[in-house]
Amino acid sequence: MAVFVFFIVSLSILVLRLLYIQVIRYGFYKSIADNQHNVSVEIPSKRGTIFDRNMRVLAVNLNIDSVFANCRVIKNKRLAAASLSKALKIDQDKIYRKLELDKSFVWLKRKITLEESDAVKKLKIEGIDMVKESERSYPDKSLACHVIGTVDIDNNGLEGLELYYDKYLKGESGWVVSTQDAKRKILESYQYEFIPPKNGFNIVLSIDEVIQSIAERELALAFEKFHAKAASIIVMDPRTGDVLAMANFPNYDLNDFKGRSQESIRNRAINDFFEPGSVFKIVTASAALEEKAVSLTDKFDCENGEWRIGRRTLHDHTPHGIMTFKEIIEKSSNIGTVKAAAKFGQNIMYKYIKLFGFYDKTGIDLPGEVAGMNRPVARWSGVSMYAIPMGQEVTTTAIQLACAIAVIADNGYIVRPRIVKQITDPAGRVIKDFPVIVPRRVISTDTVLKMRSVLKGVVETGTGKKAKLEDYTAGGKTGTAQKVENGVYSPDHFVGSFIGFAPVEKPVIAVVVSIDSPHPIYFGGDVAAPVFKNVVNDTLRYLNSR
Amino acid sequence: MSYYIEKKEKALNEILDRNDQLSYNIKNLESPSRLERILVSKNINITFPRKGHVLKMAKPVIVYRAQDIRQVGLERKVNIFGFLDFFVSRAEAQAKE
Repeated sequence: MAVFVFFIVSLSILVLRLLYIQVIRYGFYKSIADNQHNVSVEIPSKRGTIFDRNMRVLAVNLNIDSVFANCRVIKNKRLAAASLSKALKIDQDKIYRKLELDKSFVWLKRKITLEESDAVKKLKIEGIDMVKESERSYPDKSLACHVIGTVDIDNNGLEGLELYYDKYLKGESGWVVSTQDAKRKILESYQYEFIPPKNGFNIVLSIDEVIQSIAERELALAFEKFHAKAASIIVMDPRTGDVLAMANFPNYDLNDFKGRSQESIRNRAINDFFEPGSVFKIVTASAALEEKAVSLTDKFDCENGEWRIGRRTLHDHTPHGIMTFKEIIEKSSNIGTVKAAAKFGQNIMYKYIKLFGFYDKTGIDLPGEVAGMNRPVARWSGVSMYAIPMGQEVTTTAIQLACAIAVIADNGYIVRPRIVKQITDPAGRVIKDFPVIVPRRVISTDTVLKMRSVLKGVVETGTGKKAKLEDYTAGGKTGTAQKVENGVYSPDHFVGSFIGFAPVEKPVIAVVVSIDSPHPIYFGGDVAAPVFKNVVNDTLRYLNSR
Repeated sequence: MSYYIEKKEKALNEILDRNDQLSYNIKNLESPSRLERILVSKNINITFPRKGHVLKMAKPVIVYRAQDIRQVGLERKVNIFGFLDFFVSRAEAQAKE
């Protein structure tokens, strides 16, 4: 009887307890269970790919395996360390030290290769597992590093196009609300809500991988040969403003984020301005010819290389006597150029500097472009017209010079440089097109033809003979500018540059080469003109063979 | 069913990721700067073809003149024994010609 009563009482207590849990505390326990079973998981979007103009991949996101260990589960740690050492190519003791830790999660090696991943999978060691990690990868390593830029660990753009077009490349994460089992595995058939991720758009550049490679190869050779502090090159299609190549030295490997220095990350072609020196004479000569202030056959006395004006003395690097205006530009006479500029005056000079775009940013779609520091004509000094016509007291960036030489290469029109041609969705449909923008005409066709013959003369018989091509004709202008250091012109440090185009009859490329502080040789015609020659030779041959 | 779907999805993603990585590896191997470095290290001097080395052939333009078309039409009409082709194979007939 006592046993029967005991069972009845126990059963009653049990029923009451069940009633309490199932009915009275229903809401409380349901919420705990829901919190354990139902999860919302973020599905990250895939960052868009960056292609060159021929749809060759320049930047892509990869899901790469990373190996970790749950040390508490591994039974034979010595044996595991020995096997993993071979598979991951890491020192055995180093792995063993990690496995000995009393932790349930220890990274062994992150972002491993496919071969390493296969080797680890074959081992089938309990407690060793892999997770996928998304990584931005750049197959060409340092190629066009300053144009492409980099991303941070969370795939946010930091520099270059990765930063400028971050909102297009990034995409939007998706979400899934689902039920998970006791081992925290998502049960696919119990998904309550699914918002798919929107992958980032792809970007198609105007850069040509092959031309970029040619430009970087030649610039690297000059950079090392002349022990330069820095160097930049831009190769542009003057008809469309397409930047076919843009490179700077020093540069860095896009896949090695930690290995870069402050010096190597600057896109000097658009971030740095400098006094252009004699390459700026293309502006003076264009102004003189367009305004009909001088003709190509007008003669000027170049004072045998030394001309005193008030307290200032102008020098030519080679003494010249009487020369025609064409010869003055070909031989790059400072004295002759200043005398020619005096024929039209400072207002006209200012007008053409502005028309050639040296007072404004070019509008290239890259972050951090500067416009240089050029004073308005009202603030020019009494001696400005003895300096500006030959490229002193003005500053330019390499991209501004590229646009300026493109004016002569493109029948007198200035064109806005573009580095991105299209933005496409992951299926390849065009989302945004970047049309060719031609803001204004700068000089007439007549002046263009005259300027082309002058600049051809520079390469054929003038200071730019080292830019002469083997198969094609070229025109260009050399420049050797003293650098300004502590407010005065440095006697030792120069910027050697060359700007030009080819072929002269129907230009298809315009190139700017600038080499900062080359030594012991520093003349633009010696350090930058050969780079122009080699780059243009190979680029035209490449374009011709396509 | 859920575990089955998950397993298949994981396998699919694995294959897609692998494909991406292999494509990337190929791209890496094809990188112009890398190829150039290898050629230089092996003293193989390769240059782009010069201006005269590349001949671009114009696409052939096929012009059908009215006269030719008429002639073809006539030939067809003249072939009054065409029904005999039924007895011989076409290859044999061409060989006889």
